[in-house]
Amino acid sequence: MMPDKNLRARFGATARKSGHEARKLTHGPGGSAPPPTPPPVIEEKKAVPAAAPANDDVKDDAKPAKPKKTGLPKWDLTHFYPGLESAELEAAKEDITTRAENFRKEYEDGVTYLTGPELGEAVAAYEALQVDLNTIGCYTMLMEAESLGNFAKTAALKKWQEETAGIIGFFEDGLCEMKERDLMTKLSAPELAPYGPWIARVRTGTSTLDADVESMASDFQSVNRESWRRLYYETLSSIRVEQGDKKLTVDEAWEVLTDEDLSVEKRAEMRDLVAEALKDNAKRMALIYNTIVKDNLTDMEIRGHGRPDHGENIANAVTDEIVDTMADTVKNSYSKISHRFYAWKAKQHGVEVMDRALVGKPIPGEPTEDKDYEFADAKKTILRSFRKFSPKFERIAKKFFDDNYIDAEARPDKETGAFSLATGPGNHPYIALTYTGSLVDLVTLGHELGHGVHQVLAEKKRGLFLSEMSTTVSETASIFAEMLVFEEMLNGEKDPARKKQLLMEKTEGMMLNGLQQLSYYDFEMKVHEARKKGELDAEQISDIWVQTQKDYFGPAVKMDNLDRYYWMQVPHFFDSPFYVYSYSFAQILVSGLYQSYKASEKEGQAAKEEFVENYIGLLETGITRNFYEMFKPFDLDPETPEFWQNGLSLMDKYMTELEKMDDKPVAKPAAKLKAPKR
Amino acid sequence: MGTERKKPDQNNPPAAAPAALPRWNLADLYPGRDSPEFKQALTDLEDQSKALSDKYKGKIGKLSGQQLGEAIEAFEKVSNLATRITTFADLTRAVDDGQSAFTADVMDKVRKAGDHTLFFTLEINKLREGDLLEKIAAPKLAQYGPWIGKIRAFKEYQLSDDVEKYKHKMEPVAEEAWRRLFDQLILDLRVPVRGQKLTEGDAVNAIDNSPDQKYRHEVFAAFGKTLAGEKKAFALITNTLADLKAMDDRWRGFESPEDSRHLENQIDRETVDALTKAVRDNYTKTSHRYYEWKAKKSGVARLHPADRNAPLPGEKGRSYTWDEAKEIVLTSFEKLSPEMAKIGREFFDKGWIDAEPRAGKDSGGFSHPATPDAHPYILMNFYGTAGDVMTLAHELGHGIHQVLANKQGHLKSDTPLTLAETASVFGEMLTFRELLSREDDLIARRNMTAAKIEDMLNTVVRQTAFFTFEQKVHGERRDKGELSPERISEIWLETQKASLGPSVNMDVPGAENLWMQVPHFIHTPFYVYAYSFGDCLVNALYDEYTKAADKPGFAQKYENLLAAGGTKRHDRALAEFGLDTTDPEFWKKGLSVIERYIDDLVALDAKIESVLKSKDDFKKAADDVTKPATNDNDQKPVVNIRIQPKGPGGAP
Repeated sequence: MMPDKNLRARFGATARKSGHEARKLTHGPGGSAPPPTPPPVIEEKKAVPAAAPANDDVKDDAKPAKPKKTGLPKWDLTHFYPGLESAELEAAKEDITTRAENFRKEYEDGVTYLTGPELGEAVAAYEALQVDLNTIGCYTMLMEAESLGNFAKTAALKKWQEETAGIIGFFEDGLCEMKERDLMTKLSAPELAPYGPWIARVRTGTSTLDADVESMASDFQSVNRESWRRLYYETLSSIRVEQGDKKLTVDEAWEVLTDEDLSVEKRAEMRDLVAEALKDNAKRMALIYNTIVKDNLTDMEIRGHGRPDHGENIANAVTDEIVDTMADTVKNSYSKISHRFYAWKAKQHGVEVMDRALVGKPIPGEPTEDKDYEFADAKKTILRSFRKFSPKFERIAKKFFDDNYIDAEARPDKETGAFSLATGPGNHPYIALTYTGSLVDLVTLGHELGHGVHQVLAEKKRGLFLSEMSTTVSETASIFAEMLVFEEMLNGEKDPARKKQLLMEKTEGMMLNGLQQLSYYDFEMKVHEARKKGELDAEQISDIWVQTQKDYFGPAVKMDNLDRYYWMQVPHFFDSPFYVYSYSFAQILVSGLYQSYKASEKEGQAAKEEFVENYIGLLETGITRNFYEMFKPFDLDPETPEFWQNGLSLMDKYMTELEKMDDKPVAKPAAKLKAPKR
Repeated sequence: MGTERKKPDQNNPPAAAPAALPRWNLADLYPGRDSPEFKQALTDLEDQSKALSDKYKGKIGKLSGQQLGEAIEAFEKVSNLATRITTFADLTRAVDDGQSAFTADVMDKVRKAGDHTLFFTLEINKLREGDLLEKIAAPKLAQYGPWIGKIRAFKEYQLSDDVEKYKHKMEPVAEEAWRRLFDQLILDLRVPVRGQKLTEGDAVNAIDNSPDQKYRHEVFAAFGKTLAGEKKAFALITNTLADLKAMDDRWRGFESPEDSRHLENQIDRETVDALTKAVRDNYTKTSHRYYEWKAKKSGVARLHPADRNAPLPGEKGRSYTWDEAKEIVLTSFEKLSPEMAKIGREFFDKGWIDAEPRAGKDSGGFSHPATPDAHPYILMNFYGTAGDVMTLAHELGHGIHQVLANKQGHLKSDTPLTLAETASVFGEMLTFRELLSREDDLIARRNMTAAKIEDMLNTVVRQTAFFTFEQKVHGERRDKGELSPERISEIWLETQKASLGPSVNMDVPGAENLWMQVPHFIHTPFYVYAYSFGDCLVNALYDEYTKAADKPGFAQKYENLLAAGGTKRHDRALAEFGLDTTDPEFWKKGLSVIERYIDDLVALDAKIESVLKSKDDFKKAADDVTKPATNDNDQKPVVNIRIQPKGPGGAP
């Protein structure tokens, strides 16, 4: 369905989309019509790799010939219910329906008249209902992820969820309709006060529109936008790359490209074939993309937002200014980091300018043999790295293994992609991935466990409503965990060639997330701007794409035809516009945080412990503090360029280490290269 | 942006398109898409829309009758301009799909301008009835009475201004975008047959008109397979549109999915239900009976669906040149009314018709009314078959109707759907009669009659089956959730089998996919019953015509009906002919016309058989004497069995 996990950089983050999209929909007042999606899903799982594009450039250990791993864990969903047909599930449904009906009887039409304490009680009851509804929602999703065949069995259950959510949908409408002054008075009640941040979230973005318009918008988007998304995915998966008489899916073609033994000529040829296949579908893709962008622009216009990404920024609880500061700082770093990296890599290959197909080839002297990591070893490495950071982390992560909350098996009917799904307080998160023994898989496991630990901490501390997190911080724990795992691996690696390889790939992975995703955001902003003037054809979109990619790669890479049409393959553009910047955001933010951690380590045990304590505090925050406040304990201020430069400096540091590793020291090419004009 | 003009596919085995088919001349609207005139029109529209809003927004309720009349006049002017612009954009795209981005942009601009004027009808609907009745005494306003009535019919289904505005703004990324996607899908279809790649239009044409049975079957199978390749997309479009419709209905309070269409058509659900029930109840007497006859005639137990509309075995369909078609159609119209023939002639003389098939052009046919200050445009694809002659008659009927109705001015020219097919179907009937009267070959007469019956079945029975299909799909989407492509196919087969009967084999592979290519399901949901309605109605009307002693008197009444445009509902218009659609017998009467045609066909066929047999016996006897029996092929040699042609309208 989506680009293969192999496209992910070895050290790239596994994207796991936060549920802001779903929340957006449910936060609007539901009006007479039932809300479109059941609200409970906290973390919408998402198989989209963070850094999709150039990632064939980072070779993958997974070889097709590799024997399949055995003895991998499969998760145990009976923690929820014995089965889809079980009496327990039926009983739970019945109970929820009854409570939902009672809830409606009690509160419908009267939400605005409740006193503070009464409202606090109502929110608590509402949360309890959502927790249970969420449990069933998560169970459904996990069943579907476990086997695609289960989709046939879950339809009725999903319809029930939708209907039940509809019964209580009035409640959030009521909250939105309340006058701010009244609400402020009520919030002084201790029963209600803790829910303040959640109520603020519910009311976010609803103020500019009348309740019935918001309700129509919510209804409308759940039908229309959803279908365009689906059409996109269905179109993408129907594309066939014709290689001789073989017909490959796009995923399969990328699988071929991840083989590092493939000659440059063959790579170039395959890249060309994929480009051709994409181009053949350009007309439909352009129609889909134009429609989605237009939809976005119209929505923004109706809501009176000045810029197309404003809605995303609100959902991420960051200001437009913070995003601009980040984007500018990152774009200014292209020459110092990405241009420099690719020039360095070209130099390794003995050329000034690399052909696009060469970018994915191993550099001379790089070990070509893959290391294979048994699952048990991966587990050990990850837990060890967690323990060094904090024994509490290790303890929480260990439970995932011990009580079967991980599904690592490869099964033909299993959903692709990796995720960690928060299932609400009282339940435990679940992790899915397909473990084949590659380094990517090991890192992915670490990444998902980072999420998992975060979810356990936040839900335990804050409950369902207050543990929701904005996308900008939802990747913090996962990427941080990756850093821990990476350093563990790097320190344990004695072979200098492998060490260089690890460092190179980590640097590249961070760059793809931190910088290239930002260039994607740049693309989106430019497309939206151009679309305001009229419909764009596929070539016009491609022109914008190529321009932003050239900015990122710099002069040391010669772009090819696939670079021109690659945008069609980035699901985020179609699925959740402007989402991509949160990868850069998270990557750079975490890099900065990691720099602080390393500094505290140097200072001594007390400083380190203080950092860990602050860090756990950060993960437990949920939505109870704003972005700015969250970083205060660390003395970091995201409103300044320095905050972002601090994160970027980690990549700079790795880059310098890389350059030092070369036998013959190479002059920093970045100094000679000028950033391309934009 | 210059557009590449694709070469027409030369894949039409049935009949080569004769040279020099007309293309229309859109310069009557605007000199070109990049012309200063067109750009100016867009600017004007925006300016005039704003001006209208500045002058009247929030003030409609305070206007006197005279002032309100003036306001509507101003609104009509802006609305007329908008229609002229969209007509130009629509028609530009209709003959060249490469222009679809241009058209979308134009639509977008028109919509933006429309944001300014949206308030107008909304505020009219907010007027109190008493006030309005007082005001309407002013002559300036009185003339718009029928239009106001039509607008206010939607009153109780209207949402708040802001919600209406939201929906209006979102339409381009919703219904409109899905329809565009559908059009693009259909246009991009290529059906591989015998090393050639047929467009959708070519494939449909081959299935309906190719004399080569084997080829028809091959195209049918390949077409079904090609459609299947896009079944997910077609199902998604169908589901989404149904879902959007269900949402809209829920918001507005429409009870059943077809109700909004009924309201627009100014008809009540009971009348339509009576019609469709009458048609369904008569499936066996009409379609089942006919296809049984045809199957027998074709020497098979069950007809392949690609043979359903095929020429009878052994008979090559006659082919017509464009000039012949023109002459036949105009002559037939002339006999009813010289005035109407005169209008019809203008279409040919002034470049109002585009008949040349080419790649990138829409399949099918339509007559676009454009605006009263311009003239209608007809699009069709002429391959030279008798069916194409009938299509020409059909569209020209529409065109003449539109010219007449346009005299009512922009806002009142819009004929209610129930009467919209009157002139087109009537035109077909006239042309059919003309063709029949010119033919004195008995077998040719039989085949023409059969073809006419097929047309009527395709219009009355088939469209009712389509309507039933839509009711089921929309109902199920609303009540049970998404329908898989397979489920839609199931409903399709179920409704098709019910209407076609046991003598058509709908179990051949590919038959299940044909729902995907019916544009009406996508573009105008629940429109199809209008065809059944119109056909049944015209059958009854034509009956009146044949019985009428005073033919010029009838023609005059008929012309009045057409010229009424949107000012008369179907019941009032028909009352002048003494017809009453609320009477169940009325529909039976319309349907019995089909039955009479079938009776006639069977009788004609029996006559032919007996003549052939005696001829055969005679020939055989002669052959026995002269030479040893060398088999002559079945009915091929059309022996001279001629009978006296009957007068127009006499046959059934």
